[in-house]
Amino acid sequence: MLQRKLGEWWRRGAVRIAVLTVLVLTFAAVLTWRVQSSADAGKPYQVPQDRQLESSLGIRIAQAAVVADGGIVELRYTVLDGQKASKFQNDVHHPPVLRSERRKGDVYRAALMKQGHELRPGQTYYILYLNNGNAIRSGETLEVDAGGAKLQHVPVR
Amino acid sequence: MNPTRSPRFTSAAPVVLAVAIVVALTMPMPSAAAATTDGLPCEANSANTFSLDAKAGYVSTPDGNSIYMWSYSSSTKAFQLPGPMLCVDSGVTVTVVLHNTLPEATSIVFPGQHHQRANGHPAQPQADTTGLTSLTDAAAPLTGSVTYTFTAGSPGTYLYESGTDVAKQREMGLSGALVVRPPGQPDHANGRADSAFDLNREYVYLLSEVDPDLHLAVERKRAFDVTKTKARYFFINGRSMPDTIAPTGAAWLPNQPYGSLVHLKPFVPGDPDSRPALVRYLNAGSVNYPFHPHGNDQRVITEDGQPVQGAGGSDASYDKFLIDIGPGQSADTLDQWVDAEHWNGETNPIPVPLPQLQDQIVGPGTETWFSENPYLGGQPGEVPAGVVRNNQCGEYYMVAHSHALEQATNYGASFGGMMTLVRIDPAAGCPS
Ligand SMILES: [Cu+2]
Repeated sequence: MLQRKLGEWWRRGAVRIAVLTVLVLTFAAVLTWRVQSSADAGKPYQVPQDRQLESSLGIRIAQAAVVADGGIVELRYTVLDGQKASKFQNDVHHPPVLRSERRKGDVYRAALMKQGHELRPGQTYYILYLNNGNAIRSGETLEVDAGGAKLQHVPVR
Repeated sequence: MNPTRSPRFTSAAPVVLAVAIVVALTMPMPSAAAATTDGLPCEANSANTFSLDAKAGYVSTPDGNSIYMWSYSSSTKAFQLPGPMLCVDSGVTVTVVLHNTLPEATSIVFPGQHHQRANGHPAQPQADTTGLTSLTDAAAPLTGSVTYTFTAGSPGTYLYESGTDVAKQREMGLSGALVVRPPGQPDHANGRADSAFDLNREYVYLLSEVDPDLHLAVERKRAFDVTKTKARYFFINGRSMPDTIAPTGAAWLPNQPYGSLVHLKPFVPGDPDSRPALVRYLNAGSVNYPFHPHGNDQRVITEDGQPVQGAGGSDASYDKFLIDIGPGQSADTLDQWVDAEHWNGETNPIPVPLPQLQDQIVGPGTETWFSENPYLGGQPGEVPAGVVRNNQCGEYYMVAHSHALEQATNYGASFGGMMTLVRIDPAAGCPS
């Protein structure tokens, strides 16, 4: 009974064309979107650079990544000026704050920082943060807020 | 429209399109989505036949260095360090075809495996007028090839590694893990019933080290005295901390596919599905690596492919807080986190005495250095205004690292090197 009604409805040409058109367009849109985002994923990873942050802190942000199955955020930076970077590194009370640009939420509690030693220019170091309530997620972007200097749109790996 | 024209086709069209949309939405994407540790990334096949290329490539270290390495890679895949994790059942005949693309002769030895043959005849040490040149038949430089066969030994964890110019080629990276399972019991570490573990919580720690000066000399074809190496980088599965806790297959480590984060849930007494994790240690280096998981002993149940047992098969496994692995050795350990204090958020919250607020190092901002959350995700304690929690979901972490602290560095910078984390989730899991 129901099947026959559906059958009759379907045989009406206009309905059929409308349904097929919507489906074809949806399929095309979905495909475009998926291929587009896969192309984004294949793009080389690039962190924006900021002169002001680099000259005031003596570092260049090299990478942000979600690790430890989602529980930890890694911030990697390359030392440009050893003296300035040491000041930045040794200020354990004020590690840079990472702020999600997609949702409300900061991460600020460093779980592991480099211990002591001088910082060599050209070498890369890291800070690990606990990922408060999943604030930072892979594939999104974050803002680094460090000692008054800000760096926006850092892609998260 | 003519209603009689191929009605089957046109009425099938919307279904086909709907399916296509679902497929397009759900097809796996090469994205950087956070992968979770979920079992061993084994290379395995029903013929137990593997084709390995000995080749050169580069790995990256967390301090920004790039190091020239030699390693074994599956012939169909890109360069990787260490070699692929080969998984087979005890007693099967295994075939490994080695293709050499390196500028010098190389080979593979399979310590602990039986009936080793090379190109159909018993594998033999090689010698010339100067003495021993290889522990087994070697493949000629650049284009040589050898087919090795052997019968997989007793269940356990083994190295496969170069048998040619060993001091140099081992240092250059020519090694990998061979996991031998009890037939029909992949979720047992050895033949013993008490060696059961959770197959989704199985890990290899292949430990090794690198002197970058030797690697540079080999890359530039300069002479180097292998007796004078000084290791600067220390790897678990070819990665150093913090790369060790990056996902297996992380996009930023294209040639170092294997992570080593151990991810546990608390043991549930009486639940047959609640099983320990298995950590398989291997030393592919030339010195001991005294590996120390913090906070929780691990139970050593297999050593060098032999179950730890006494006369008549009595259980002789033992708990250790420092697993000291010698060169070429292996140990399989069960890691089970037991909630000894029976924490319960309502009835037994196990209050943690809260330090004075000023002792929590609360800065002028929102920075704090005290874990305000009760462990395993209870009601949050006293936190600064606006702060809800300080972790993902109440999970916590224990460090696991080489207790020889110079091995827990990246070229002298601590912490790094041979270090990873053990993560323990709340019993209810961790919503993402
Ligand atoms: Cu320690």
